[in-house]
Amino acid sequence: MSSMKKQFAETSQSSAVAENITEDIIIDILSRLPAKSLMRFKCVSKRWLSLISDQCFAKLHLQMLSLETVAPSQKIIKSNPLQIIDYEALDNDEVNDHVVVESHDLGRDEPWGLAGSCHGLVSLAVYNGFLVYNPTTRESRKLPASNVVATYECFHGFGYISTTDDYKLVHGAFFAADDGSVECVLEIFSLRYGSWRRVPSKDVPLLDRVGIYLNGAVHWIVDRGSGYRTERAIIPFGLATETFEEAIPIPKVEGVLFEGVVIHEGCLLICDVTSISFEAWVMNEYGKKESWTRLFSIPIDGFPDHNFYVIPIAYTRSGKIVFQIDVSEMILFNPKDGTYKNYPIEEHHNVESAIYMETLVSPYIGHEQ
Amino acid sequence: MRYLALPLLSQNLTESTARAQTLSLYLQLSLQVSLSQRNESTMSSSSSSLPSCPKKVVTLKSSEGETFEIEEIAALQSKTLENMIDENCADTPIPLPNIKGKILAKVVEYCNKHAEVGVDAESLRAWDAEFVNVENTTVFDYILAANFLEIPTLLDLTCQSVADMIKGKTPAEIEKTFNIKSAFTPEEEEQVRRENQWAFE
Repeated sequence: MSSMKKQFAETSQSSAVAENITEDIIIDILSRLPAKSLMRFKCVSKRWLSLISDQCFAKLHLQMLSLETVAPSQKIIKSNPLQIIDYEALDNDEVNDHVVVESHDLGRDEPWGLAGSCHGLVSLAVYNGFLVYNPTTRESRKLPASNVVATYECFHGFGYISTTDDYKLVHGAFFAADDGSVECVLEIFSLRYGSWRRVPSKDVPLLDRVGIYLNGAVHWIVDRGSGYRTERAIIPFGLATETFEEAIPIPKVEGVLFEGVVIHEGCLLICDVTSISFEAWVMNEYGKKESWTRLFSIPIDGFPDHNFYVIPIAYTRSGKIVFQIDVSEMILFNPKDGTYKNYPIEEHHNVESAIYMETLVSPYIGHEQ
Repeated sequence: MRYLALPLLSQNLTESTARAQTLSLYLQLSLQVSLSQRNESTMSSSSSSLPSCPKKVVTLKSSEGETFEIEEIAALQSKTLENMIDENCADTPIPLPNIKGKILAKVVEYCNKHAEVGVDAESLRAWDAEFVNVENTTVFDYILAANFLEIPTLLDLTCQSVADMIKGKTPAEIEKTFNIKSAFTPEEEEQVRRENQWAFE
């Protein structure tokens, strides 16, 4: 960050500040503000506009977010139609029963699905390629289509690699080979280098639509083995090595089939809603299967009927969990007493949702616009 | 509020100490080490036992010439003062011409409180919250003092306090708080506002 300090000191204008507050103090103060406030403060002066738009500052701001003891400001993004949901506002008792929703219009690039979320950047699957979008700054970057045929059987992941300061989008699909076996084709797009590359992929287990990013890898829950020896596990895809890494076994609990993975306080959390209970476990130490700890196992009475899925999306600051139920509802579930409030959501067809942080990170990191 | 040894931005930002108590303990440990190093010639045993030294005091002089005493152990929270102590420049009163007496007194109070042993985190947090529960201009004075004296915990506390105070403000209110004369023409400002209009909703 010393280069940033130098840059601003050299071009120091006479924007008089109260009591001789210097540039680096202003930067310190601003880096603690929520992204939304910073977007507003672009109007304050040319100096502030230049600072807030600077990607070095965005990185500093992101680092500050990860140091916070309180969960950083996050929202839910959903597709079909593209909307942002302020789920913390849902949790606020004063708000009545309508969901606090903001529509985002991307015109012809209306996404059909989400492809992953990381550092405030959301990757959207559109009809002729992908979009990397920051819903807070509304900046978007169109990526070309990969050579993998996009179908509903494809899978996606998106995340950050600290060693190269880069973001990668993973796009893969399964298809039946001539000998009847299932093969996988995998391509990766690097935001910094700007192109798709085919990556070798052998023995890839069947993956669900979208993986969850944590610690430089994208994670899916998979079934391993076959028949009676089927085991559920979490399989990470390392974004730096571009390979699938060793699967992490998940606890076997009677009557429970873990399907949802989310991030809770920086750890992977898996959960399931059975007909009678809500079960959630968290892996306190990444990669160590012994560190799986039961977080909740509570009886639930009258959970909303669902036909297809119950997907956990977010954990509110007060400890409630937001679930997407099938395609038409979101519920705010209170694990402490098993109660919930439901909120209808607007859906045109297959709704996908994800959580994202409010940051100033640009999809054009390092790359020519 | 969080406590982290937030160094000046030119340094590595990823380091963080979560509690002021830990920081104060670290400072006491480093004081023990430096004390035992200074007394190397007179000490026969290892550095595991603290020699019984009289409590050293540092004198600070405000811009108006008023003097304030602070125990060396508390003064070590200021990197500036620590450097002066290490270079043996702290035996005479240290002039601080850009810090008023009113502010310096409070900074000394802060350092003393954070050098105390056995204060639980919760009450320290509450004490800190009260410390910054003052007028904006005073908080800015604390920031400047903490910046000059390089007291990371105080800088963190005061900058966070200002951030919390301004996050909901309008750009016009910000200009007043920071005494900024906007360099935008009305048309330029309108354009920036329009490009970011959703941030105002």
